[in-house]
Amino acid sequence: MGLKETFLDPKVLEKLGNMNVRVDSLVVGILNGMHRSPHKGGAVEFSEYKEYSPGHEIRHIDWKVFAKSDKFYVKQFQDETNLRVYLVVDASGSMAYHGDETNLSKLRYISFLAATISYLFISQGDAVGLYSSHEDENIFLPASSRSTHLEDLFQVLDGLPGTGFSSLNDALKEIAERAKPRSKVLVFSDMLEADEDAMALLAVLRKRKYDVSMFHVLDKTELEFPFEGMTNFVGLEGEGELLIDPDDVRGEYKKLINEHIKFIEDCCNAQQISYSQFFTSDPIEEIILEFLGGST
Amino acid sequence: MSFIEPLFLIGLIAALLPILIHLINRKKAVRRVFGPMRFLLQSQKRKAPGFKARQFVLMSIRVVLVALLAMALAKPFFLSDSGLTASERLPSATVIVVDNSFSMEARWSEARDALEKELSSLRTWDQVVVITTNPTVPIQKEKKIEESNKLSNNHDVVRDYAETILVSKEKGNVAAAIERASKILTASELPNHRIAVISDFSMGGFPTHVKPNQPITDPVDEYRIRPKTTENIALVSVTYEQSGDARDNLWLIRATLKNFGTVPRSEQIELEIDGKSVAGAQISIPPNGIATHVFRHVIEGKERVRGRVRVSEADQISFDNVSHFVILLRKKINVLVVNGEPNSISHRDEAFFLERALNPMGSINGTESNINVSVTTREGLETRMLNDYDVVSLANVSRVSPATGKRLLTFVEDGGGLFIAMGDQVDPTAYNQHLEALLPKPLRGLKRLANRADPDAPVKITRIATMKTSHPIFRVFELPGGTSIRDTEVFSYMLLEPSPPGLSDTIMSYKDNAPALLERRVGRGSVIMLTTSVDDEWTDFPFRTSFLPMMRRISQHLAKRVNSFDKKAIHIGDEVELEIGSLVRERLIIKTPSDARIVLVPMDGKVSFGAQEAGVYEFWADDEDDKNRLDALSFAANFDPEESNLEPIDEAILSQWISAEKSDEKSGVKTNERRVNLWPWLLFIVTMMLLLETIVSTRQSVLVKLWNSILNRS
Repeated sequence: MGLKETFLDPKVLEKLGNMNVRVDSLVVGILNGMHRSPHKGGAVEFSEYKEYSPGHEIRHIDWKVFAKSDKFYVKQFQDETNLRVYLVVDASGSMAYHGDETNLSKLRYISFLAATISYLFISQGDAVGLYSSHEDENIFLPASSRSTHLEDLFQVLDGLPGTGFSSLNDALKEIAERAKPRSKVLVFSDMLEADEDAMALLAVLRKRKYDVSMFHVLDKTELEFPFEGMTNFVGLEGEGELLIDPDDVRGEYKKLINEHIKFIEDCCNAQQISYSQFFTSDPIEEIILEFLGGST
Repeated sequence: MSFIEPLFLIGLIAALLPILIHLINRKKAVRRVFGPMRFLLQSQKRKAPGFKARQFVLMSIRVVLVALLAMALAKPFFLSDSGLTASERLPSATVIVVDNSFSMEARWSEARDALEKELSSLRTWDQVVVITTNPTVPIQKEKKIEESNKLSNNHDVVRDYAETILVSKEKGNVAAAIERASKILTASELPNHRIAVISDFSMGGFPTHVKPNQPITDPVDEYRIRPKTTENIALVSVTYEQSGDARDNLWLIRATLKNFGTVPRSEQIELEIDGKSVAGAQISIPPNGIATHVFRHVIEGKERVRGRVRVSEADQISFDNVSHFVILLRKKINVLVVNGEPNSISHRDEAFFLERALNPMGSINGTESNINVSVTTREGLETRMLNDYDVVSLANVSRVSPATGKRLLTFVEDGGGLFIAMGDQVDPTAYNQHLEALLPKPLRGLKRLANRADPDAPVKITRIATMKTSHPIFRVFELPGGTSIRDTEVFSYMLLEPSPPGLSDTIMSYKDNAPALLERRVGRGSVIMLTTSVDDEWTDFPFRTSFLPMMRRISQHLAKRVNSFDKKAIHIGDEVELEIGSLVRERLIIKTPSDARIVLVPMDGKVSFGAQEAGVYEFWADDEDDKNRLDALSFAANFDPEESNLEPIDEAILSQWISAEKSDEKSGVKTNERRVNLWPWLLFIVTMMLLLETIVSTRQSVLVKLWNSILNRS
């Protein structure tokens, strides 16, 4: 089974139908009409050089510059599409967690979600880029609207490790630098490590006119904490171990996590960031429909 | 603290189990990777103190719980002075023995307190009876409640009896009372038996020479009401005897005091006769010794006198400071004349002259002679009760049987008098054999000086030559005319063998220096022997005017002295049995020292009654008038001096009677210590801790749910 079949559930796509993704705030798109024929236009306007990194199209390498400097540079062109969507995917260790009732980790869940959304955007000709940062590795996939780009996206999503520390802040900083203004930024994360700095960075994105959407994924057991008996909890991001009777801390834990979720939600609402909180047990199409509903 | 099953203490090791289980649980904990560790750590940090404390409390409860369970199985107990063991809570039968003998007089209030304490400690389901060492005591307030020998649940009745108990004037036998108590307890079916003894445990209360018939197995609790001091003076005896001649009425009254203390004492004592103090004396008594004072007092002619000796200053025991006595003054002397040669011709009869000399008026009524004469033959002597007479006169009696010889010896030793007159019937050999211990000198044989018809008789005969005039018999012969005795002619007399010097006293001799009248003291009595006859065969003495006074004086001299030696001391509490014989027709009236009248009907010529008071008891036959007064029966009852000894009883003697307690002491457990079991309390604590453990170990969520459901229902 190819990656496409893996990430794109025909049932999900069927439910989504021909709904188009639209962004209200994208002024440019409104001004220039929905489709200035991306197939006809193409990248013609040179923008800048950028050092080659995996994922760049080889055909964009400026061989002349290579001849002069013995380094690979790719030519960056001004996209002519209406919308650029950047997916910021949290691939930290905590994202690899899943409860006993499901085998679907948070990371896997949002990979499906991100893949489906990418498909929808690319299907309507919008460019989709991806940035994932975890521990010491950054993955950046420039936005592109070509259909083959979808495969690249699937490739990257499939290869996300789900280990190490979360570096959401770094990812947000990076995307602020790389994303074109007025782009749409979709953040997929469990937001467990999100602090006030992270929320401040989101605010910065909003100020730079990015359309930011927050996909806050949680495993149900993280919220309900249904465990019983002496348990040795092991952190996924190097927090160490903790032998404890869950009953002793259940109340306090639930209080803390709810406060945290409330904090995230409040911050998003304050910055007019589209906020969506869901569990890995929720149907993906409902999340997307909710997102699309909010986007229309 | 001690343990019944100490082996179970090994179970204390099991107290380590909760710690081991805790450690094992740590290892067996489920391992679970978890995303939001940050919040978990934060929660744990906030809740850490409470969580750890709860864990610690839970583990401590479990450790203590197991340890307590192990200890409870080992059945711990401790000994306590107070409280009751389980068995003691069961119904018990108690016999309270109260020593109310007179030695308790000084501490009687304390004895009553002990009795009250014992009665107060009774529970309604207990059986009890109070017995005393001296049950027959005067009853107070006209409450006549008999002492019971049965255990009773009715404590009010027992208490009513207890209130009537007074100190007796009798000697008390605590040992016998304990035996009685033990016997009473055998009738009880209650699980617990005990005897409580309230006594001074002094020497007098326990016989030192008698052992209990059966060991006392019931536990005995002692209330030792000891006197503050054992110092005590007691008049242990008062005796009396007539001194000198029976006509003199001089009496020797001997009062003996005993000092039971450890310091020398000097006491003033008084003699009272018929209620009047007639003499006094100061007497010193050494520690633990006795001292006797002899009062010499002339008692003028009455039939009887009542007297008492008392210590002037009373000490802590007052009952033993006085001693009563009664003296019967004898009016007539009973003489038994044994006629060795009876003859139908009166003047030929051997006893003719003697009988008339002693009782000149014979059987004529209204005789004023103070001598009663009974005449019998040699055979008659064998059957006569000698104690009925004061003097026995053997007149020319040929011989006496060995048995009669012994009876006569006893008679004389006990104070009787024997007068022996010779004659031709006398067999010297038989006399020497059977009356050896009585004869002043052994007989040798007849010495015939002359026959009456012999013309030379006035030359051959002999006469009375010397008399020991200091002898009481001859006192009257010193008067004018008294010398006529010297004219007496003696034709024959009995020759005597020599005897050891001092054995006898020759008080009259013939002219040829042969003894005529001899006296020998034997025991408390005397024997006087006339070596010639008391008829006219050997002498003309019976015709002489001196014969009559001589014979009477001899009889009076020989007559038994009245004394108290023969009388058995009667102590208060003794059962007195009197032989009335034919003295009483229908009833005997007794007047007690407190002037109470007791009327008794003799059974088989005997009466018996308990002497419960100190003093003189008097008797009348049928009617209470002087004519019917029976002075011979009068007696005085006194305290028993054994009870005066306040020294504590020797524990070795006591242990014979209170063996149950001694066996306890041997086993090392003091009687007053009770075993208090701890394990029921430990098991109770274990149960409570189990409940606590359940609550503490239950998940908070479960408790909250439970609480909420309770709230919702309510």
